[in-house]
Amino acid sequence: MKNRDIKNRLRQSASSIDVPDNMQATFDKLPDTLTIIEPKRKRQPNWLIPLLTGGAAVLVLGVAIGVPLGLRNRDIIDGGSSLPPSPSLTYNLTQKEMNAFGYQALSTVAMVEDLSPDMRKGRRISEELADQVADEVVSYMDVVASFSEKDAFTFLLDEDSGFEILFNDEAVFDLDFNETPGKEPGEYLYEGTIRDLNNGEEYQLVGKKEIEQGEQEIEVAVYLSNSTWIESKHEMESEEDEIENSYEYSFFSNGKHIKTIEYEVEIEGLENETELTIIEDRIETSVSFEYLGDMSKGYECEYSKEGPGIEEIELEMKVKRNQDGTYTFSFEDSDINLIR
Amino acid sequence: MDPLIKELDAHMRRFQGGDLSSFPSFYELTHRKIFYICLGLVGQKEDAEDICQQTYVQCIEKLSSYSPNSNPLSFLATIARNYCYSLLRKREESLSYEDEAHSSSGTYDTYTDYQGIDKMLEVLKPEEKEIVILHVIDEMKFADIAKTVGKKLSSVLVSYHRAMKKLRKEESNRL
Repeated sequence: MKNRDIKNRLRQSASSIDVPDNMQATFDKLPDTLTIIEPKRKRQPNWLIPLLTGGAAVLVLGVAIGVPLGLRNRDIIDGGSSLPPSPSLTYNLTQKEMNAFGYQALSTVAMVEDLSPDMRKGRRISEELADQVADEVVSYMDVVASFSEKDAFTFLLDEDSGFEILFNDEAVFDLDFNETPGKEPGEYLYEGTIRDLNNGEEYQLVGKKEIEQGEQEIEVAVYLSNSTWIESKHEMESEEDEIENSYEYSFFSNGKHIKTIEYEVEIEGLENETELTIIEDRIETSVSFEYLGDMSKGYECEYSKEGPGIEEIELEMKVKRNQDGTYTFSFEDSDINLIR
Repeated sequence: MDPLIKELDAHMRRFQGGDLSSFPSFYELTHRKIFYICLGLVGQKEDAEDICQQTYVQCIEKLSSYSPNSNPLSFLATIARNYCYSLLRKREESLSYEDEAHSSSGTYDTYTDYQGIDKMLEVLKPEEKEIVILHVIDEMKFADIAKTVGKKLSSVLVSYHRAMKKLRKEESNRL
């Protein structure tokens, strides 16, 4: 039974209910006298003008877009300074924190690498709904797959190779970063690079770890360019053995925040469910993936999109990863199969 | 803005200006939706009817709390669910004072028309049931539901998908 069958049954049942019309009785109970509420007049934001002139503008814009995490280092981002020296191997990261840091770096760089040409060069409008949905969903598949196969990843720190991320014992990403204490006790800042060992691409990476009242927060940002980057935020409670599986990714393009993705994972044995919530231009997209135990079975995927000015979309599909790294999308109730 | 929400917002602005003449239209456009929320939460027709009436009365009494250009349905739903949860708390308190024999025999009469939905949704937690009713039956957007129930959008979406999964599983078992 599909979601739409459930919905139809619920709506049918609801419409069969004899809803009493108590309009008159209700109206009679309304207060006799109403307090008239004057519409509020819009004030001109004159206070912005002096703020947005001269040096103050730099401060405001800097706070608004440049240093929301206190992360950015102009020398590194502009490539003005040399690459950071080799890791000192004295990071204030426990194995659990290192895993969390590694996951965030991994998933964030996966998102950077999956940035569609649309985001890099502006929105492209697909003609076919299936094409549009497959194009969108495939951009999340690598990060979803990285969590589904999380046991296959190892986060290693040793004298010879530094911090590496291994997939099935094969090094796939190399992290090279410095740690410096932050201003607050328990705060550490990280600056360096993450290199994709498959294609040789290297991205600037900055991060921060904070410990406050028993809670830890790790933030990682990976830069595609000086003006396009993705920040991830992950909070975890120190008393738990498991990494709490809730992440938030913020996308910045041309220095502006354009999109937020929230990511939650629920794991039950071999099966897991992930839920992505994407908020962009007041459009909400929800993509849930039910991982069926191994990659040959793939995922059951539900996709929905709603927001002002668009027609609501709800689709269900199966997604399987192919040998060549592409994905096959089989849409429910249709013969449409697409490879991306 | 959704045409229905736009129309309801126009009514609310009129009410704020002291003109209640369009209240019957406003009621006509909303009362079924509000009734479904109430019935879903309290499960009893008479209580749902009472709460519906109280909801509209408080909506008019608290017009100053409504911000033009927002969602009147969400405003009404928030009031309605507050009344519902208040009633549910009272019921729990009164049950705790009763002896076991009395409480087991003191079940509430169910609304027979409602039994179809109630049976379908009985596997859900109250917060999941609420979200399913608001989204599927009342056709509210998730963002508005999040505001109404005071949760993050992602939490609402996760609850909704978990609820639908439970319902699919339950329905498959029944077939």
